[in-house]
Amino acid sequence: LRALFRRLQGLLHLSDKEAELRAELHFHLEEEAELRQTDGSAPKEAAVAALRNFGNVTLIAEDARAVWLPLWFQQIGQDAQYGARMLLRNPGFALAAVLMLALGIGLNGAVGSVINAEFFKGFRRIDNKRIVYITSQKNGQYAGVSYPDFQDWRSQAKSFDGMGAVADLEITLNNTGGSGEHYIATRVTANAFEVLGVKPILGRDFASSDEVPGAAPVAILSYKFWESRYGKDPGIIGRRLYFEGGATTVIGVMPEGFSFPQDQILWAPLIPIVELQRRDARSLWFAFGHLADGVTRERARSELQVIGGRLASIYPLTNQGQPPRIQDFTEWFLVSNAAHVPAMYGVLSGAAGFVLLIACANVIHLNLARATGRARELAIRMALGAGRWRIVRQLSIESLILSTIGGVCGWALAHSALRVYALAINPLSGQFDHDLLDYTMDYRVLAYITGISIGTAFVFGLAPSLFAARLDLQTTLKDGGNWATGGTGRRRLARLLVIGEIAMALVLLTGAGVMIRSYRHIAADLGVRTTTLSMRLSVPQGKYSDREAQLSFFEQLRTHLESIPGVESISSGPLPGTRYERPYKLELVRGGDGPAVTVMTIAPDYFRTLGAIVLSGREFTKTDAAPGAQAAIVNERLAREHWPSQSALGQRLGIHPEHGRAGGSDVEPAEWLRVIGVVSNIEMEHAGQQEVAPLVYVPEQRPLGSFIFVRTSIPSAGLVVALRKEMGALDPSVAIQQGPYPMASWLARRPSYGGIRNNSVILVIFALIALLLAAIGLYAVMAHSIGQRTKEIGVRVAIGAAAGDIRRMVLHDGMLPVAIGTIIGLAASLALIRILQSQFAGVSSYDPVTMTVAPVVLIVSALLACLIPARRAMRVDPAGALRHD
Amino acid sequence: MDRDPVSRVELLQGTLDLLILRTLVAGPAHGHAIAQHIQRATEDVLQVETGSLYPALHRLEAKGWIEASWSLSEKGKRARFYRLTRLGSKQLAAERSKWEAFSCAIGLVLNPADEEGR
Repeated sequence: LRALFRRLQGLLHLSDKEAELRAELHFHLEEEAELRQTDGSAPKEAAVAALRNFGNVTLIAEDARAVWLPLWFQQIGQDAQYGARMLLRNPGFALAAVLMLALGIGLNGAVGSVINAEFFKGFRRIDNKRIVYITSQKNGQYAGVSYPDFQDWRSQAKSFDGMGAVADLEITLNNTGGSGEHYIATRVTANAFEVLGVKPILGRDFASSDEVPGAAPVAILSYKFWESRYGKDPGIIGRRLYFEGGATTVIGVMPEGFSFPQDQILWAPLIPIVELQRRDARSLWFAFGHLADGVTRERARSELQVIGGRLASIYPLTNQGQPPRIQDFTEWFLVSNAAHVPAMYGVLSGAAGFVLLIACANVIHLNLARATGRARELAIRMALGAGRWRIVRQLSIESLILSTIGGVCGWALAHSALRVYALAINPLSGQFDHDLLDYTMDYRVLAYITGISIGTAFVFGLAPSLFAARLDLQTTLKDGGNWATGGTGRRRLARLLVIGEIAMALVLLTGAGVMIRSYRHIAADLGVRTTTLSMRLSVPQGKYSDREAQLSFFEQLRTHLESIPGVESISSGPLPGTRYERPYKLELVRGGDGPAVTVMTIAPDYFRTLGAIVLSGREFTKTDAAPGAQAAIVNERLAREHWPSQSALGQRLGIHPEHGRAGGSDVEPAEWLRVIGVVSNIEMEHAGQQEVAPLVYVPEQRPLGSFIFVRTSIPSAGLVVALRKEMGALDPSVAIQQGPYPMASWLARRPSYGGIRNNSVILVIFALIALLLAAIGLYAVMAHSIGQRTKEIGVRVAIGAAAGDIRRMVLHDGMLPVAIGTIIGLAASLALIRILQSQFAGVSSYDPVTMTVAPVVLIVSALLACLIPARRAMRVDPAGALRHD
Repeated sequence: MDRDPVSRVELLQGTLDLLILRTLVAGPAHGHAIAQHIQRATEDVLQVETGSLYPALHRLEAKGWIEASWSLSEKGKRARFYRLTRLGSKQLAAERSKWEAFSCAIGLVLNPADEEGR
């Protein structure tokens, strides 16, 4: 300890100590000279003799200094200085290397930040470690939460400081002009913000009086919405918003960055209306609790298990086999998205890792090329007494300097990449979705970036160091610093690197291709055309209010829009996959009680327009909407469940509202219907991740309240203007409130689908970067090798090689490793596809298109990368080349 | 003035520390004086290389066996004087007995007592 202290002191008084040492040695020399003078030498000679006898002053000073300052420490300082100078002397090399590293490190940093944000950090502004998410489960699947269950959990569980619940709410905000905008909102229990520990920055929090049925509607705005729509107007409190027909008073604004649990514009109280009072209506999104002090998640889990068991014995009909499940942010986030999310992150990190490896390989190429020129410098240093390890260390420090700068630039790059990512999450609104999760880079990401920076320095610094360690002094000095003569090892390494780069780039390309096709597969599996346009109309109040007026207006609209070239069909109905469900009961026997079922009202041509397939029977026609027609269409799921062995066509079924309350529906209670068609499942919500709900479709009576769908045969972008024009011509007072959006953009909002799409796009970007880097690497190797072989090529030309021969030779040289790399890459791709297949839906084991396109793209790029140096080789002037050196 | 190389003896590893400590028993001295003293005392058999002297002095100082201070030399110049510490004296005693045991042991090997009896 004392020694350490002394050493620290030594570091603090470095310059003092230096001066003292110099003075001490100087004194010694003077003494020695004087001593010699007394022996009879002339003063000058004596001084010279003293110095000669003394030896190497610098070396002695260094040795003495080493006592209080470790030698390696001093030398590292020198090495760093020297290294920086060497890099500055070759700025092209330094710039190229830093750019490559920044790209590699940046992509990894960005992927790391995303994973960090989505796995570990959780929602902004809340204590994610103490907040847990509670839902019911059925067969291990998410099953929502019923309000009575939530109340029982809340009143009985002792493990929590507080428990709140959340329900989704999609609202259409009416403007003064009569048009409206569609927004995401959230219903929360009045105590929700208190449980989360976040207070409004303006106005007040919800009070328990706000959540009693019949209370005046109130809402608390998100900061972002308050800022973007009201310009942070402090007078917002008390203002009224109009949505879903009612006036709602703004009572508060939440702080910036608080966005729980989705990107909503406002929160409204979760009022336990009659529909929510049923134990089998699991329509709440989830409940959440703040763990009390000292309570572990395990204790809370076992307590909830007990409560769930009790509830199951009291209410066996509704709660048997549907126990509560408690999850932390990570588990909840993954489940609420989709099970494939971790795998997707695995793929992305793998891809980013590949890009980094390719970047490293390129820096090794650069290093090797530069080492050729530096061999002489290093050999001279070694001849002057530098140890091999000193040289290795020198080179390592240069690598470290490069990777540090690369890391800093990579950090900046990751920062902007994250912004792009956050922008791309929400393509529908184009709004910044940055608020939902905390994507900022924290110490974990910083540590990660630092780690990979040092790691890469090790990877790309190793090769030149090892070559330096094996440097043969004599030949190097004699050869005038040209390593080409003894450089077979290095050339083999360069070739191996090219093979590796090509293989990795190919794996990325095929991986990206397969993922894109998987995403398109899922889109096809969803049962909808992604190009079909959807829009919502806003009709002035009092206009087209009765059924006949609506139906006739819709008929007009249909003929108008169908006259637009490129429009194939028009229909109306609910947006598939909206979480909105009307609680209905299915009757198979007249007067009997059956399971819950979802009922959707649709216009004729709904399935054709959306691209769903009518498996048997037919779609609705205009006549089915007439009173007494009693026609119904069921989805495949329902048909298979209730009439597994016979045709569903002609079967009778009844539907009645669960609580005897029609909820604005046009279906009369217990209407007795006949099945006229069976349609394929539309899986928009779950994208193959969860079961499809059984559905009954009935004819639409008031089409204007629903979405209007337009099936098009040409790209929809050009149609939007025409659509708006036709709508205006029909009735200027009816505005397009929302849209027209292609179905794809709705899909993108569904995490299970949008996630795969986003990630596939990211994967494609990574693959293209990898391709570019690999091509650059190949180019660098070829250009360097041509430069080295100028003399040889000159000889060949001199003895009669034609330009074509030279080109053939160069191409053969460059494309051989490419061919090997392609073969290895293809083999690796097949293995990768096997893995992807086990993780993602819609990946086919043999994908001939991808497996052809990817190698072709790669080989063409490689050819281009080789042709440029080959052209240079063809222009070699033999006379000049032979005089070279 | 240089002596014949044969009569010069290389310092054994570790003995320089002992010699420095012993020299400082006589009183504080600066580096040059220490070197001169050792050279004279051994009748020029042992020549202390400055290359080893100063690192050794700094090492001993770091160990706390000697301490250094700046004062005026006999000729009135500022010099760095080294003084033996109490820890150093103890160390000297220990090193000394170790050396004596060592040289005695070497002597036993080189001049075996039973050789004469053969």
